[in-house]
Amino acid sequence: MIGAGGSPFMYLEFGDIVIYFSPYTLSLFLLALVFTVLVIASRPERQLDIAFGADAYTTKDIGLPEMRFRRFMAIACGLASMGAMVTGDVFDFCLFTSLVGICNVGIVAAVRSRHVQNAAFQYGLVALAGTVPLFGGAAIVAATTGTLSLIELSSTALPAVPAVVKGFLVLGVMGEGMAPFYAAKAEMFRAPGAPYVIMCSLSSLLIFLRVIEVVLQV
Amino acid sequence: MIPYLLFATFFGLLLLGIHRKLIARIQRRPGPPIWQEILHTLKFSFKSTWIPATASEVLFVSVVLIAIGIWTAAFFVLVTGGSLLIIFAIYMLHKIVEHGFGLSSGSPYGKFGGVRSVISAASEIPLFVSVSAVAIFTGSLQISDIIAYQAETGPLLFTIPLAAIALYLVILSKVPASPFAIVESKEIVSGYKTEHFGVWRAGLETCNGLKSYVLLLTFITVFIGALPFLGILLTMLLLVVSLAFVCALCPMLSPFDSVTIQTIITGIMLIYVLYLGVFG
Amino acid sequence: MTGALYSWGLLVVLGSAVIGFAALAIEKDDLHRLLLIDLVEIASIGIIALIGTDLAEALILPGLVVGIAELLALSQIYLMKEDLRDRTVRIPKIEVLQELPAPLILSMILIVYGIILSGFTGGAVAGLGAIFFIAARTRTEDLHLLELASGLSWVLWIAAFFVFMFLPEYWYLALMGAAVGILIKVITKMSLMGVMWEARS
Repeated sequence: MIGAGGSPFMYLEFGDIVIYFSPYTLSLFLLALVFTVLVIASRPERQLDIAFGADAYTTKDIGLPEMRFRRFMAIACGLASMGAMVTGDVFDFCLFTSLVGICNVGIVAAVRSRHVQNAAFQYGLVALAGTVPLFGGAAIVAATTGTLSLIELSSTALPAVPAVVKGFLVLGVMGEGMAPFYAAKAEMFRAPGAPYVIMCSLSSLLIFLRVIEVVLQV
Repeated sequence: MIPYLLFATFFGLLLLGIHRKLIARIQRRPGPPIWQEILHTLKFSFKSTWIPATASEVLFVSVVLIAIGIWTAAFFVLVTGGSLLIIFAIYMLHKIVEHGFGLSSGSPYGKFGGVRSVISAASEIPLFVSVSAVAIFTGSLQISDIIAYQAETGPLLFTIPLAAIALYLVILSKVPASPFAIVESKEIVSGYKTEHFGVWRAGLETCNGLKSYVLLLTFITVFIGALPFLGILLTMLLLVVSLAFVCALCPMLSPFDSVTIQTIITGIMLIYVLYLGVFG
Repeated sequence: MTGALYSWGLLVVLGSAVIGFAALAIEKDDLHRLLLIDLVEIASIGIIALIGTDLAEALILPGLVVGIAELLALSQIYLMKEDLRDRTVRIPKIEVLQELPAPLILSMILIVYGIILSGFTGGAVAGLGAIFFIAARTRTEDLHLLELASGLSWVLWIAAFFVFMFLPEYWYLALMGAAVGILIKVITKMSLMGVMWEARS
C-alpha cells in the first residue's frame, strides 16, 4: 500500500539512503523531538514514598552521577527513536530499533537496586533475542526484492515480500519494545522515574507505530 | 477552523456532562447539571496554581500542552481527511501523556495511575484491528477515501460490525466511570491526574472535551460516513447515551480483570481481522 | 539454482536459531543464557550473510556492532547484578618483552606495514604493533592523548562520509580521509583496550 501514512512531502537524500517525511512519520518525529527536549530540560521528580505503619512521608533524591547517566541514556534513546521515525531504509530502521533497545536497558539498569537490575537483565535478553527476527526480516527483504529502500519497496513493480517476513519485523520490534512492561514491573515503584522512564515507553510506542507503517509499505 | 475547534472542545465537554448526568439518573441520583464539565473547566482556569515541590517542573507543565497539542492535531487530521493511521498513533500516544501526567508529579497515586496506563496497553490493539479491517475493505487509510467508499457502498457499520464494536470498546475504555477506567479509579484518588490542579486541570479538561469529540467523530466518519452537521451531533448524542448505559450498569473492574478482558477482546479481534484478511 | 541454495541456507540458519531459542528457554542460569544468546545472535548474522553480495558485507558490520554492544551492556549489568569484581590484570612475563629493542623493532615493522595497508585491516595490524609496544613498556603513560586521537580520527571518518554524500566530486579526498581516519581509530582503539582495563584495576 503506497503512502499508508499520507503521501511523503519532503525527501532528504544521503547518497542512496533517502529519508522522507510523510504526515505520519513527521508527527511521530516531532513527538520524539519534543520529549527529547523535555528530557534535556527537566529535572527528575523527587518521588514521595509513604512509610507504612507510620504517618510519615519520605522523598527520594536521585544522585547526580546516576541522574547524568540516565539522562544521557534517555537522550540517546530519543535520538535513536527520532532516527527510526524518519529513516527510509529497512535496515537502518532495524539498527535504530536495536539502539532503542540498548538505551532502554541503560535507562532501567542505572538504578542501583537488585530487583531493577534483574528486570533490566531479563529485558536485555529479550531485546537481544529480538534482534534475530529483526535483522533476519530485513535481510530477507533485501534478498527477495534486492532493495532496502522503503520508497522503492512501496512500488508495486517489485516481487511481494512474504508475510512471514512482515511477522518477523513486528516480532523483532515487540522484542525490543518490551521495556515499559519491565519498567512497570520493578522500576516505577523503586526509583524516581520521570522524565527518563517516560522515554522508555515513548520510544517503544513510537517504534511500534513506525513498524506498522513499514509493514504496510513493504 | 479555529471556531470549529472551540465548538468541538465545548461540545465534547457538554457530552461528558450529559454522560455524567445520565449515569446519575440511571442510578437514581439527581446528578450535576449537564453543563457541569464546562463550568469545571472555567472554574479551574481562574483558581490559584503552582507546581508541587516534588514534581519534575518542565515535564509537569509541558505534558498538559502536549495533551492539548496532540488532540488538536488529531482533530485537524480528521477534519481535513488525512490518514487514519495518524489518529491511531495519536490515540496510542495519549497513553504516554497519561504516563507523563502520573510520573511527573512525584505522587504515588499519580504514579500508580501512570503504571496502570502502561499495563493496560492491550486496550489500544482493538483500535488497530478496526483500522486494519477498514483498510482491507476500502484499500486506503485516507479518511477522505473511506468517506467516498461509504458514499458508494453504504456504511461500513453493516459490512464489518465487529470492527465497529472494537472501536466502540476503545471509546468505552476512555470515557469516565467506564468499567475499564482503571487509570483514574477512586482507590488511587484520581489516578494520573491527582496532582494536576488549577490551570493545569483546566488544560486537562479541555483536552478531555476535545478527545471525546474527536473519538466520537472518528467512529461516525469511519463507520457511518458523511452526515449533515446536525446529524453528526445527534449521532454523537446517541453514542453517549449508549455509553452512559454501559457505564452505569457495569461495575468497575479491578486492574487485573480489566487487562484480562481487554486482552481476550484483543485476541478475538485479531482472529477476526485474520479471517477478514484471508476470506474477506 | 542460487534461489534453491538460498532457501536451503535460510532453512539451516533458521533451524539453528530455533535450536538456540529452545536451549534458551530450557536454560535457567543467567550466565549461561547470556552465552546462549550470543550463539543465537550469530544466526541473525548468518541470515544477513546469506544475501551473499557486497551489500551483505556492508550490513553485517553494523549488525555485529549492535549485537556486541548489547552483549557488553548485558555483561556489565550481570557484573553489577551479581556484584562481581574485575580481576587485576598482570602483564605477561615473556622473555622477548623484557628486552627493550626487540619489541620496539617488531612493533615498528607492524605499524609501518599497517600504515601501508591502510583502512580497517591496516588499523588492526598497526594496532597489534602498538599493543606489543605498550605491553613491553615498564612505566605507565598518560593515555588522554591517545583517547583524543581516537576521537578526532573518528570525526575525520564521519566528515569524510559527509563529503561522499554532499560533494561527490571530491571523492578522492574523502576516500583518503576515511582510510586514514579508520586506520588511526582502529590503532588507538585496539591499543587502548587492554591498557585502559589495566589502568582501571
